[in-house]
Amino acid sequence: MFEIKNLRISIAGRTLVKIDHLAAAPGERLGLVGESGSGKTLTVLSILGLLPTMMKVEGSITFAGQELLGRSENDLAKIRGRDIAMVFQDPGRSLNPTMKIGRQAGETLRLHSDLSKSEIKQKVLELMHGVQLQDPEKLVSRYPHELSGGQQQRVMIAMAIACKPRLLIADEPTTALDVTVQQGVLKLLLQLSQESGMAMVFVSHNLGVVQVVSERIAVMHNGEIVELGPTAQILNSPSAAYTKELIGSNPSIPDAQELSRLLGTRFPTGKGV
Amino acid sequence: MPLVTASNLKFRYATSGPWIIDNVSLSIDSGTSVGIVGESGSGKSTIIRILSGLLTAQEGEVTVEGKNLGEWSREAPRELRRFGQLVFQSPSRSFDPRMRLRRALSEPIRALEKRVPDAGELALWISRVGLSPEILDRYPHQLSGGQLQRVSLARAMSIKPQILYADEPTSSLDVSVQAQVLNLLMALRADLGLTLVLVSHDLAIVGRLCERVIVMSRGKVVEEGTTVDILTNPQHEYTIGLVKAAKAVSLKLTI
Repeated sequence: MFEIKNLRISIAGRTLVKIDHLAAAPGERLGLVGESGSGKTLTVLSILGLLPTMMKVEGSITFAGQELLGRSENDLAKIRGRDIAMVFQDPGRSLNPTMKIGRQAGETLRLHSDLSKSEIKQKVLELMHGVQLQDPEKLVSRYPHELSGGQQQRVMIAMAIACKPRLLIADEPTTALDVTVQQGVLKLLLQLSQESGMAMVFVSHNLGVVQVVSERIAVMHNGEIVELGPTAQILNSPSAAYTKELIGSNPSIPDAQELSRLLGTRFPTGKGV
Repeated sequence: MPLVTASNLKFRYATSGPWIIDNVSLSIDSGTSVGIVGESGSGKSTIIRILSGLLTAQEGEVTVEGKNLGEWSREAPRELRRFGQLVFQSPSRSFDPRMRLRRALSEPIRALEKRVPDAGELALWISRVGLSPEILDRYPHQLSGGQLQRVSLARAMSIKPQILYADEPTSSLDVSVQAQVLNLLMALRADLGLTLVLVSHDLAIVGRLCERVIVMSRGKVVEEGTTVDILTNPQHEYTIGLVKAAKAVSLKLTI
C-alpha cells in the first residue's frame, strides 16, 4: 500500500527524521508510537506532502506503486482526501470555524466526486449517521464551536472517510477526547478499517490505545525507528531499551492485586485501601 | 477530623446559568490522597477551585480545619493561601513569561511569609524537584513543559502547605515526563506528609496515586469510595461506564 525508503527530513542541515524502511500492506493497521518530538507527525505529514517548504525531504515514499515525493501540489491535491485521508489531533483547530458542519463535511465529496448538490447533502447525512453522530439533520446547520470535541472529531472522521480512502492517517485522533468518547471513536475506526479494507497509520503516544487499534507497531525515538514488529511482540517482549522505557512510562489501571501491593508503599496512612 | 469538608455546595458562573456544581458534599481526611475523576465539564476543576478558596460557592459551606472557608479567606487570606496550594494543568500558562524563574519561585514566600528567600533556600527547592539551580536565571519559555511543571511543584511546596490541589498536573506532558512528575509528586507527598487532592480524567494515574476516589458527573458526586472499590466494584451506572471505557484502552501486558 505505502512504502517509505531512505526517508530523510532535515531543516537547515539538521536531520529530524531518518527512516530506512517502513511499509504497510493494504488493510493493515500500523501504530506509530514515541514521545513528543520523536518525529511521528513529521513522518506522516511527509506522506501527504504537508511539511513546511523550509524542510528538505529526501528518499522515496510510494503509494500504490506511485512515487509521492517530488509530485506537484496539484497531483497531491488529487490524492489527498480521495486515496489518502488524514484525521488530526485537535478537531477544534482542524475545522473551519466560519463554515457550517454540513458544508464542511461535504467538501471532500465536492472536490473528488461527480455527485450533485442534493446527492452530496444526502451522502453527508449518511456519513454522519455512520460515525454515530446523533441528529445529523440538526448538526449540519451548526458551526464547529457549537459541537463537543467528540462530535467534532466524528465530523473529521466522516470527512476523512467520505471518498473511501485506501489509507487513513490518524494523528493522535483521540488524545483530546474524554475516555468514554475515545472508546467510541476507536471502535468506529477499527470497524471502518475491517469493513472497507482501509489501511491505517495510527500515531499515538498512548500505548493502550495503540494496542487496541494496531496490528504492528513502529517505535520512534529521536527521528528514527528503534523497533518494529507485531503489536503483542513489541509490547510483551520489547528488545530496544527505549521501547522498554516507553512501556514503563505508560501507566495501566492497577488491578486488585496491584492495588493491595501499593498499600504501605504509596499510601502510608493505609486509609481507604 | 476531616481536613476539608464541603456541604451542599452549589455554584454557577452566570447568575441565571446552569448549576456547574449541584449540591456537592464531600470530606477529605488529613494526610490522604484523594482523586477526583469525571469527564470534561463534570465540575472537577471547579470544585477544587471552590475548596481552595479561588471561587466562592453561591450556596453551601466549606470548612477547612473546622473553620469556615469564607470567614478565613476574609480575615486571614495569607494564612489560607499558605494552608492550601494549587498546581494547574498547563505549566506554561501558570508562570509570568516576563519573570525569571528565580523571582517566580520566590513569589509565594515574598507574598505569604513577607520575607525574601536566600539563594540557598531556592536552590534547595529546585534541586528537590530534580532540577539544577542554574535554571533559576532562565525565563519560563526556556524550559520544557516537564521542567516547568517541576518548577510549579517547587513553587507550590516552597511555603510548605498542608494540602495540595493538583488539577490535571501531567495531562499536557509527554508519557515519560508524566511518570517523572508523578513520582516526584508522590515522593514530596511522603516526605512532607501532605494531603493531596488530584483532579484527573486518567483512572490509571488516580488508581496508582490515590487512596480514595470521588467520581463526578454533571456537577454532582455520583460515587465515592476507596480506590479498590471504585476500580474493581463500581456501583453507579456512570462509574461502571467510565471504568469500563478506561480499562478498554489501558495497556495490557502478558508478562
